[in-house]
Order: sequence, then C-alpha cells, then structure tokens
Amino acid sequence: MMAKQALEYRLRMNRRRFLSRLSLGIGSAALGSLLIPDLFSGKSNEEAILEQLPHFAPKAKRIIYLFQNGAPSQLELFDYKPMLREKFGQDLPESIRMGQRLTGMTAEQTKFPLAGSLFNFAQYGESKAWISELLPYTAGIADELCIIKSMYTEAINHDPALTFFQTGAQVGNRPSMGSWLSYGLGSENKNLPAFCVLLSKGKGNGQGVYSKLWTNGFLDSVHQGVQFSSGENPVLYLNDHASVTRADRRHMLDQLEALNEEGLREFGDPEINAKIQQYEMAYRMQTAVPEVTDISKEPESVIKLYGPECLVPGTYAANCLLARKLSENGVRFVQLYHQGWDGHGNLPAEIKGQCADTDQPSAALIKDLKQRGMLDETLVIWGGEFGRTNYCQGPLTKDNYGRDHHPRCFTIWMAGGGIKPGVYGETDDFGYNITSNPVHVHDFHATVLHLMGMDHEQLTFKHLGRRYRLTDVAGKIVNDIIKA
Amino acid sequence: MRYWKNIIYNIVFAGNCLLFFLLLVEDRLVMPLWLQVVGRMHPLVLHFPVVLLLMVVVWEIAYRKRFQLSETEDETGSTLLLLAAAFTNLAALMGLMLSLEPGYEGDAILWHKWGGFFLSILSLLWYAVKHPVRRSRSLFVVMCSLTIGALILTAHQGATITHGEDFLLAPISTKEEEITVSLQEAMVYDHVIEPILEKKCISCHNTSKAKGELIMETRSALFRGGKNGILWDTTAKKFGLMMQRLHLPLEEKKHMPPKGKPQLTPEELSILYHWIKAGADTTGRLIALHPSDSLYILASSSFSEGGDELFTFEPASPDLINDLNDHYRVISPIAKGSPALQIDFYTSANYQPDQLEELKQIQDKVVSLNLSKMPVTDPDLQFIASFNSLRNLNISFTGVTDSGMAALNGLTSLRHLSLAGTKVSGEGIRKLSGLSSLQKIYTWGTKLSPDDLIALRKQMPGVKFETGFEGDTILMPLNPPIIENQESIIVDAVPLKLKHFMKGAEIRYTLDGSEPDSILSPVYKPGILLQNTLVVKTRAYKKGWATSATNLRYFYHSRITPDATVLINRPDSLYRGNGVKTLFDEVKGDMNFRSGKWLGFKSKPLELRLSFKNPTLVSSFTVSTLVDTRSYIMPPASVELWGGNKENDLKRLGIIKPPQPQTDSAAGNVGYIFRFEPMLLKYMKLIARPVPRLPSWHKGKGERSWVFADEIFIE
Repeated sequence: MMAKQALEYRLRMNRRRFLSRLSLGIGSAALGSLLIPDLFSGKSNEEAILEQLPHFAPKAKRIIYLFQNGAPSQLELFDYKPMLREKFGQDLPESIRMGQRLTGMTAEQTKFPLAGSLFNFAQYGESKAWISELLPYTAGIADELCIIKSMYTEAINHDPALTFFQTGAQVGNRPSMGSWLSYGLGSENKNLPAFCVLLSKGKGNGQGVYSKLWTNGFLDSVHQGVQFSSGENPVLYLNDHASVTRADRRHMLDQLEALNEEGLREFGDPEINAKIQQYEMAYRMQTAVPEVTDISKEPESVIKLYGPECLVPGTYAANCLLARKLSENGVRFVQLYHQGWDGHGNLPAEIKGQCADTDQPSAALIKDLKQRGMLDETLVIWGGEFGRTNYCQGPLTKDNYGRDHHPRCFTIWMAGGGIKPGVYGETDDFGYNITSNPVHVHDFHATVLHLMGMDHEQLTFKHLGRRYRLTDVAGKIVNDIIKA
Repeated sequence: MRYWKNIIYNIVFAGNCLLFFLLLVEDRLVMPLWLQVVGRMHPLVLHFPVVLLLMVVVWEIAYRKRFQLSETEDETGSTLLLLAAAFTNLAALMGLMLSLEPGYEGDAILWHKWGGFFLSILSLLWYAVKHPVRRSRSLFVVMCSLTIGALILTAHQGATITHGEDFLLAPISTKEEEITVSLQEAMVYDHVIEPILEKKCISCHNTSKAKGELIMETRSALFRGGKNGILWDTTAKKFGLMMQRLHLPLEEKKHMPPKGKPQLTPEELSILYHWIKAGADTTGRLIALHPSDSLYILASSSFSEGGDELFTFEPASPDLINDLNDHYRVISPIAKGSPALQIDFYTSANYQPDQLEELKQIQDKVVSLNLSKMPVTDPDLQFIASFNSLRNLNISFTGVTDSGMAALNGLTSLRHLSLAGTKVSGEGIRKLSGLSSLQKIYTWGTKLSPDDLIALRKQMPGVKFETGFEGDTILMPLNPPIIENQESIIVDAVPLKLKHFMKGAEIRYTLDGSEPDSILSPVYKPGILLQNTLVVKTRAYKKGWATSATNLRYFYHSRITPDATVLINRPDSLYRGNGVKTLFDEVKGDMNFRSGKWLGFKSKPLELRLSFKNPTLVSSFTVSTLVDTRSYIMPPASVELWGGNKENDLKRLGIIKPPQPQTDSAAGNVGYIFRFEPMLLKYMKLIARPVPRLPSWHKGKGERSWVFADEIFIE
C-alpha cells in the first residue's frame, strides 16, 4: 500500500488525476474535430484525395503512348555506338558486363561477341541527335523529340518488364498507368472512356499483349482500359441490333435504371451506381464512337501524312490515326501496343520491317497533332519495355545477328505537352551501361504524372490496408526534360 | 497562486493534445474565417515563447549555479517555465492555423511546423518534470541544449518563410538575380546570351580580374575583345577566337572555361555558336526570330510561354459551373483552385447554338475554348469576342470564314488561335492585327496562299504560323489491294473479292500470272468468277499516288482424284502429316509448317507417283508449297512433272526452276502450276528437289534446305 502511494507520489499521478488528464486530452481532440467538416459525412479517403486534383496546372492534358512491344533495339535506332563496329566479334569484357544477369536464352552462351549496328546513323535537329537510317521520318521531327537514351528497368523478361512499365510493379494486379490517370483526372469527354487501348502487330518476332496490361487493378472498374478492335465495330457489342431503335434503347435503359436505383436504395452497393453510369456512358458512346472512328472524312493530305496503310484497320498506322482522333475527342490516355520487336535472331531484317511499319505513322502523329495546335497539350511517348544487348545472341555473321534482352539501358522518346526537346542521358561506348542521367521506370512515371498535373506521391489508393502509388515508394521527377 | 498554475497547466496540456490531434488530421482541416484571423496573429505571438524560453534557460542555469534558491525564486522559475510552455503552445497552434492558408508549402514550413510542435511538447514536459531536471545534471544539460537547439532551428525556418531563403546572409553573399521572363519579353542578348556569360565566364573576365585583358561584363567591353584580339569574326575559321577556344579539347591549356571551372553545356555552346553565326545581335527580341531558327529553338524552350500565369479574377461559383457542365460541354478550372476555366465541346451531333450563349455568365473567366468541329459560324465569333480573358481559341474545322475574323480583334489576351481546316484565307488573317498577344496561329488546311503567308509573316513578326503538312507534291505508293476471299481451294466457282480502302482507288488484276498494268489489265468489278487453278495478281492505281506493289493469291481447283498414289521417299519423320493422303485431303496448310498439314522433305526430294485406272484427260497439274526462308524452307531447286500411259515410259511434261529469294521475307504460299495441251494420261510423276545448299546470305548458308508441300491439284 505504501509502495503504491510512494510511486504515485513520485510520478505525481494517480487514477483520478490520470482520468481527468485523459478527459482533457479527449476533450481537446473533440474540440479540434470541429475543424474537420467532413468528419461524419462518410466521405472516403479516395474522395479526399481526388478533391485535391489536379495538384497543379498540368502541362499536358492527354497522353498517347506508342508502346513498342517486344523491346526495339536502341543500338539500331538511337544509341549510335561506332565502337561496336570496330570491335565486331570481340568478346564483351567482364568489366563492362559487371555480372549482369542473363536471360535463359543466352545464359548458356560461352561468348558474348559484340555486334555493331548494320545501319548507318546521322545527326538531326538542334540537339544533333543521332538517328538511324531506319527512321527517316522520325529524323524529320527530331526537333520535337526529347530522346532519353538512359532509361533502365529492373526486369529482364517481357512479361514482368511490360507489367512494370504499365503498372509500376513487376507482379500483376496493380492498376495500369492509364487507370491511374483516369482515377486521378477522370474523363475529359464523358461520352468516351478515359483510357483506350489499340493493338497492332508487325511481322517481326512478337510477344503477347494481354488485358492485364490495361487492368484497373484495385481501382474502380470504370478505370479499366477499353480495347478497341480492328474490325468493323471498333467497340464490341456497342451497336444496337437493327431491330432496336434509339428510342427503344432509351426506354429500356430508363426502366433498367429505375430497377437499379431500387437495388441501390436497398443494398447501397456502390458497384450498382457504377453499373448505372456505365450503361449511360455506353448509350452516349453509341453516337460518339462512330463519329470518332470515322476516317472517311480525313483529307488526303492526312492519309499521305500517315501513309496509305492508315486506311487499313488494325495496322499501326491506322491506330496512330485513331489515337489522334480519340485524343482530339478528349480521351485522356490512348495506349497503343505494336508487336514484333523481339529480335533475338535475324534482327536486321526484322527491325527493317518493323521500322517500315511504324516510322512514318509515329512521326505523322506528331506532325498531325502539331498542325492542329494539339501538340502543346498532348504528351506522346514512344518506347519499349527494355533494350537489347550489345552482343549477339546466336551465330554472328557479317550481315546477320540477334540481340537478347538488356535492362540496363535503352532509349525512349517523348514529345509534346511540356516536354523540352533534346537528348537526355548518355551510355558508355559499348552501349551497355549508363554514364549520365539515368532514368528509372519509376522516375519516368513520376515525370509523366507531373506533366499531367499530379504529384506522384499524393496520388494514392488505399487497398488491403496500405496506400498504393503508381511509383510505389520511389520515383524522381526528371526536371531537365520538362519545359520551363 | 498554486490554483491558477494548476488551471494553466491543465489548459496547456489540453492545448498540446489539441495540437497533436490537429497535426494528425492536418490534410482534412478546413479553417473558418475567424480562425484564420487568429492564425494570422502567429507572427505577433511567436516572439513571446522565444524570449520566455530563453529566459527559462538563463534562469535555470542561474538557479543551478546558486544551488539553493529561496522559495520565491523557485516559484518564479516555475512560473516562467509554465508561461513559456503556454505561449509556445499558443504560438504553435496559431502557426498551424496560418500554415493551412494557401501559399505555405515546402521544406521550410515542414521543419518549422514540427519544430514548433516539438518545442511545445518539450516545454510542457520540462514543466512537468522540473524537479527531477533540477536534480540531475545530465538531464538538465539535455533539456537546455534541446530547447536552445530546437528554438534556433525553428525560429530560423520561420524567418525563412517570412523573409525568404537568403534573407539573413544576403548582404554578405553575392547575389544571383533570377528574373523570370516570359518568351514574349525575352531579349536575345539580355536573357539568353548574358546569363550564360554571367554563369560561366565573368568570374575571371571582369573588371577586377580581367584575365587575358578580356572583360565580358558589358556589351562594349565584350565587343572590344582581349589581349588576343576580338572574340568573333564570322569570316574566320569556327567564327573566331571565342568559338575556337570553347571547342578545344578539355585537356588543352587554351580550352575555355579552364579545366576545373564549370564547363559550358552542349546546349549553351550551340546557343553561343548560333548567336555568333547570326551576327551577334545585342538588341533583338527572341520572339522576332524565325520559328525554325536554330537559336530560337534552342533558347525558347527555357522561357515560359506564360502557362503558369496567375489569374486574379474572382472564380465563378462551383454551382454555376456544375449547372453549365454537361456531357457535351465540359467546363473545368485549369488547375485546382484556379479561377480560370477551360471549356471543351464534344460530339457535333449534340451541339446546340444556345450552348455557347449560356456561357455568358462566365465569359470573362474562360481562358481556353475548344470548339473544334462544332457547327460554329461567323456570327458566333461576335459572341466569342466578348470572352476577354481568352488565351487559347480552337475553332478548327468549323464553318468560320474571312468575314468573321475581324470580330476576334478584341481578344487582346489571345495567344494561340487554331483556324486549321477552315475556309479562312490571307485576307481574314490580315484582319487579326489587333491580337496583340498572339503567339501562334494554326493555318493548316486553310485557304492561306504561300504568298500571303510570306507577307503575313512580315506583317505579324511575333506570330508563329503553323502551316502543317500538305503532301500535294509527295508521290507515295498506294498499298496493294486486299484479296478478301477466305478460301483458297475452289470447290465449284467462287466470286473474286478485291477491296481497297482508299476512296477512288482503281483496282486492276490479272488471272494469267502476268503482272497487272494500268492499261491492259482489267479494272476490278464484283462478279468475276474463279473456276480454275490460277493465281490472282492485283495492283491499285490512283491519281496523285504511285502504283501499289502487287498482291497475289493462289486459288486451287481439283477436279480429278487419282486412283493410286505413292510417295517414293518418306517425308521427314517430324513433318510427315498423314503421309501421301495429306496431299489429296483438300485441306490447305497455313503458315505454320508444324501444323501437320504439310509434308517436309530435306535429304531426299519429294517424289510422287500416281495413277488412274483409266486414261484420264489432264490439262493442268499444281503442287502447292510453302516458302519460309527463316525456317530454312526455300522454293524447290526444280519441280518436274512427268506423264504417260506406261509406268516405265513417262515423258517429261514440264520443268519449273523457281527463282530463289535474295533475302529473308515473310512466309508465303506458292503454287507451281503446270499447264499443257489436254492429254490422256494413266501415270504421272512429280519430283520437287530441295535446294542442296542454302545461299550465302542465309544464316544457314551451305546447309540443305527444305521443301514443304501440302496439296496437289489436278484438272
């Protein structure tokens, strides 16, 4: 008894004092809570986050991402390394490779013979950027491009690398970049999805694309990418049957909405609300999509700009043209995938074909956006998921070689909305390691979000008890490539 | 006294709890206006805790030195401490309220905020344990130094927020003025060239140092040059001394700036180079240069185009914006909290003329208006002219004409105007001379003539004309027509289906294997029936375009099935399909040679013998093969067809030696068609020999190639 009292005395604390102090603390917290207007309004964490968006004035309103699926070789296109030609066939020194892990395809190779590019380079534009003879049209827009030669990634195989580039994580189930943008900024045009996906295929060695790359992950399903198909109906199941008139459809949707409203009142499930909205949007898309996808009114100069292939649905050129039209109609994020860049063997012939299919349309897109006054507000990104090795995979001959996957350096370009044209980053003479200004995939994401007016650290979503970001726990904005 | 102290102590305790709570939920706080007034008293109140906390430290040190204090002196110390705790807490609470007002961001505020919180807690804690602190020397030292340290840090960060980053040391540090200049105002020399010299050259070449007797501080001194003469001379090699020195390798002694000093970036180098090349002008504006001028392109990117400009007008009410927003007219602030609005119209089918007029209520707040492709006409421009804050106006592909242009002259803030795809000509654009802020005008697809363009560029020197791509003079090949037929084996007769996506393209074709031409070959019309084994070759033609490449497709027709067939050599064990039956199953193989629909031969030729029970009238014989160079499948070196009525006495009916490909190409189906005068035959023999050695360009050069066949057709 005495001991307890002595302790209480020394701590100047007993039960009564403790409780009265506690009430003071709770009381003050209650007082403070008066300053939180939405404390009991049931507003979710997400709503609070979204209310803050955009965090600052965006430099770009929309993105067109020309994803070159399969990883184009930077050594054939942008990263000019004359030394590789001089050292043709010599082994890659271990001092350069520095224990870089290999894919299963070249792990068994005992020699890593260096292979210089078969193609010639020249310098273009104010930045004196080296651009390959394979890309004559791209060379023509050199002054618009910010060529980043120092991209690097963590993954070494297609699936994880693609997933990493699209979602910021190598494992699946995270929201894709376009979904994050849709979540953060919503749709500009309420009659079209905020995130559209267009696929095309080149003749080169291809790698798969799959819907997990445009998944909404744990975000609301309205943020999922909508894949446009190349057939007669770009959006599947959108058109009414011939026997259904527009008035019938309206009537049916009104009745359906009444039923859904009832369900919503009864259960309060927010997914019902999402459903109502999606039906309504599909109804509006029925008029908006045909107008957007109709290319018959494009003038001949536009056809010549993109090349005649742009009239053939499902080609890369057609998708570039469609991307411009979608963007023009307020689609936040248009994601193209073009397959066929995976040049493990027979790279020179394949890359020639790939470039023939993509060079003119890619450049045309930039020119077309520019002549309409849209380039300032549209961010265009071109690039693959990683680079290709400076050494040959398989037998090396004078006029044929293959290149394996290389995550340590590769080239992408960006243009338009807020981008400062120029060349950023350098690689060593072997084209193997980055020597200045490395840009990690997370940095790339942070920069893209920044250009769209969002702070990548603030754009979060709480899932499974943790707040997730596109950039995970990393990402530095590359300020040097952003226009002042 | 004790009673009052107790009350104050409890209030301060509650205050600290409140402070902690508010910091936790900072993101979600919304300050009522009267509390903002309280918050703004922070700069007044904060001086109390600074002084009081310092007094506490001084007092307590004095107390320790004397060891024994009278009761009153002890009491004074503790009162002082309590007051310090109270004011610290008060100042911290007020500071937190102030920080929630817009305009307080960044590192300084973060450190200041948490510093204030720390001090508030620390002073209260000290009061609570003042006796143990007095007794223990180490505790005392810790307490004092923590207080002083946190006080200095917090107070300094606070001063930084109020007075700016370099306020304290500004008088003794060299100033680096950073004036932000917009592209409109930027001068070539003052804002592009001089800052480079300032940063990289003047530290040595100034009036007090003047290395090499060169002073670069003023224009006249710069033009005078130094000991080695003038700095540039456009007739000299590399344009004179300065460029020569700058371009020397870094190791050279004469390289400028010297090794170890900050070097010029490649960008800065080319800016100087182009400036000197163009005559080293010191008075011109940057914007006056031609948009394709190298110097303009290099330098303009570092100036803002006024995108982040601050708008001072009152925002429209959110309810009004909400009311005006619909699915086809989207109104949004350009950024969170900005009063400036951007408006986009979508889907012309849903456009109503009054949709524009309804915007009257917010017309002076609209900075960006996009009406592209809407059915907008000249009278509407009169109305748009009242949008006096407009920076960007997009009326491309609308119905506006020259006569509407004059109305736009009132838009004095307009920077970007897109007229692309309208009927506006040089005459209309000339009327836009009142647009004093105009930077860019998009005239692609308008009626603006090249002569007018030259004149207008002179007349409006500050405006960039974006004329886009015309393409009239570019001759580009069409893409080949598409052969839409799915089937390649004709059962009875099939209509030929050719298609081209280009409007007005002419499709010509041949059925006899010859190359189509623009005169002799027939023009495609639907309704042509294919009834025999043949190859369709087709090309597209259109005025203004070069002729397309040839697209071709084999169609196979079989009327006769032999009664007995035998393969002399077995196909390779990996590609043996269903044996000889594969060649007569009327199933075409696809491009996948592993599909089982193909027979593959490598070491031995494909040799097929067939016979009829009765002599049969035969006029054509076709073998369908695969070419896939990357898979080592080449056309056969030769294909021979023999026939006759006695098994041992066959006559050669024909031999085909297909041309070999010169490079890798996509896989494709090739048929070898033998046509001859109809004759009665009982026995036939086909031999297709693989190429013995792959050509030198092939990655498997020297190896044997494959022959793959999937079907035989006899007519």
